[in-house]
Amino acid sequence: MLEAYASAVAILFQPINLLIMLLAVIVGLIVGIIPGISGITMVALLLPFVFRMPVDASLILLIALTAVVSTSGGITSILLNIPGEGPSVVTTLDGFPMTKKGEGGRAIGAAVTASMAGGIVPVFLALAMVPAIMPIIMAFGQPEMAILVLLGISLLAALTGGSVTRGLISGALGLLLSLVGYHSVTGVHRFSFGTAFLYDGIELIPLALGLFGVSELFHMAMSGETAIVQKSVARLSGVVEGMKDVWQHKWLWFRSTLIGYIIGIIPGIGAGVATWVCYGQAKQTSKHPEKFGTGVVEGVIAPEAADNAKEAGALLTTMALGIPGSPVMALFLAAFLMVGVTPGPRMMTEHLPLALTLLLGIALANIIGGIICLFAAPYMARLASVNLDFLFPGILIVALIGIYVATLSPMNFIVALAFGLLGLVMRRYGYSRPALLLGFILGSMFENYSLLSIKIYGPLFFIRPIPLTLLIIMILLLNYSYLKRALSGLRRRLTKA
Amino acid sequence: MKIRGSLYVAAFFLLLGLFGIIQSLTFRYWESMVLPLAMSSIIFILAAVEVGKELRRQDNKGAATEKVTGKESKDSIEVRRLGLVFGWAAGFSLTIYLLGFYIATPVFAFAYLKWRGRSWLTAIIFAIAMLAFIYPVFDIGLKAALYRGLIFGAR
Repeated sequence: MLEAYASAVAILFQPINLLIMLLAVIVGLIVGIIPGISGITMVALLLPFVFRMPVDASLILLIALTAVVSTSGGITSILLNIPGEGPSVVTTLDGFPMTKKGEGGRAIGAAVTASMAGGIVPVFLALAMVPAIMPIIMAFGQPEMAILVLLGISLLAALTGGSVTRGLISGALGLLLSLVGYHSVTGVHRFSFGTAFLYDGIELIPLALGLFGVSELFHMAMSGETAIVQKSVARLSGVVEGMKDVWQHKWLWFRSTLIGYIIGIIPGIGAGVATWVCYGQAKQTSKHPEKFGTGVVEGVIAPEAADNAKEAGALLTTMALGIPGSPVMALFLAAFLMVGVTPGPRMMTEHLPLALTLLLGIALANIIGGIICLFAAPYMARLASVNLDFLFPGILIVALIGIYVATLSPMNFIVALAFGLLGLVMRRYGYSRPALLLGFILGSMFENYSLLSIKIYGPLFFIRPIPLTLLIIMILLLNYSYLKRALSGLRRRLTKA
Repeated sequence: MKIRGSLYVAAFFLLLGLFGIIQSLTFRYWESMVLPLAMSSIIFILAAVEVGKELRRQDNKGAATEKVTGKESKDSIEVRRLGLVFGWAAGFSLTIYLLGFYIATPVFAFAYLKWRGRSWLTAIIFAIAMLAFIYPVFDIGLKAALYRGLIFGAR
């Protein structure tokens, strides 16, 4: 185990990997600032190019980019009241009022320090957890894996969709789409309609880029906004005071970090939940809750710490179980598979140094990103004024090049545009795009595991301790809102009686 | 009465599920049939639930929705914008297919910016910048031979 930790450090500190990390951090910080492009869009855009790079370098690139997106997202929330990323909306509640009071520098200092430290500490929690979870993971066979995949898709579907039903439709559609093409076990062509293009199934890259890249472009263009009006950003002072604020509120920071980490571990829940939960707990435990929303530093520290803290937890779940801890991790699953690494129990045994490298990469990316933000925040905020007229052609060109580079077929442009439209409709009507992608990625794996399990253990293969427990958990979680309503109704009736 | 978009979407998934079920039943072996059939059935059943919910919501809010004319015009503006943007994306894809990336990219970048009302100079600089970006990064840096277009002999 110690050897694995040592080789992880050695991989991470190779000069080329450090250089890639620095570049990825800079790109991640820019992406975090520009409204309209999210971390998930950027990861989707980069997916086609990573498989041409060495495995460790490609994954370091993606994880470093993802790790710092939320750090810079907070800067525009504070200075311009424009959240660069969805979860940074919470930071605007107290961050922007602080700027209006002339405390923008203090807010930036607090936000960046809380994010940076919040991104580093959970990495060590995750590293400490790895030896503990190994025996559990090793107990997983085909039936357990089949049900685990089902649990992952269901959880992501239920938590990221507008409703459980819509989320589940998305997950099932993803699974169905993964079955298109030649079935290797029986030789049957499924849903290919005699078209040679569909014999090998739908390619992952055009689907992922369509769902998360092209659909965002359509959404951006449909909204009709052409530019974010730039507001003047004064010189910042008080950054050091903000850093001291984090130390003064260290228990709040620690609680938020821990909550963020735990939320990250739970499959499917993104940063949006973590930041709101932590803001809520900061308000509840504050001595002056009435001041929240008027520009208090605790309202900045809590969400920023949670936002970065979730990454390590989400990555650990993704690597150890093969179930994405957050929507962006669904794309990471795709990246892992593309570079020849199968996430799940096998990854933690066969590629343990790589897994540890990525966890350490989160910590290092946060340090680099934090330092850059502390010095360059006012200049970075100006990037938010980039005109969306230039973004649409720029991103579309890179997306289509990416699709061609990955598939060598211009026919896949049609697939990307079709999934772009589907993604737009799904986004608008509360269907879960991450669940569709996860179903698509894990579909063939699920089919193989379940067919093997049926052949070895019979059709009731799930009547075994671990699969049965997982199934019960799944059913309870999917019916949580109904159960909650039924229980409260029962309690009311009992109280009346 | 105006039909909500969510009802159309749910109905689309309902039909998709039904189509999946019918197709799955034609597959020869149970191994190739079981999962597509299960997934199509799940989509069909859940989409039916969604359609039911939407119809009920439609009945309850139908009268109110009918009066909101401002929302209707906002929807039609958005649909028109989407049509235009989709047209640009599809047109760019077709141009790449015919002429390849090295011609299609600057042409698209230039034409789009002109359409957005940008000056000739800005549009030309942006078009050249995009070409100057893709050639060194993709062709030289990543050694990815980009598509040259059907007209220029690429297949």
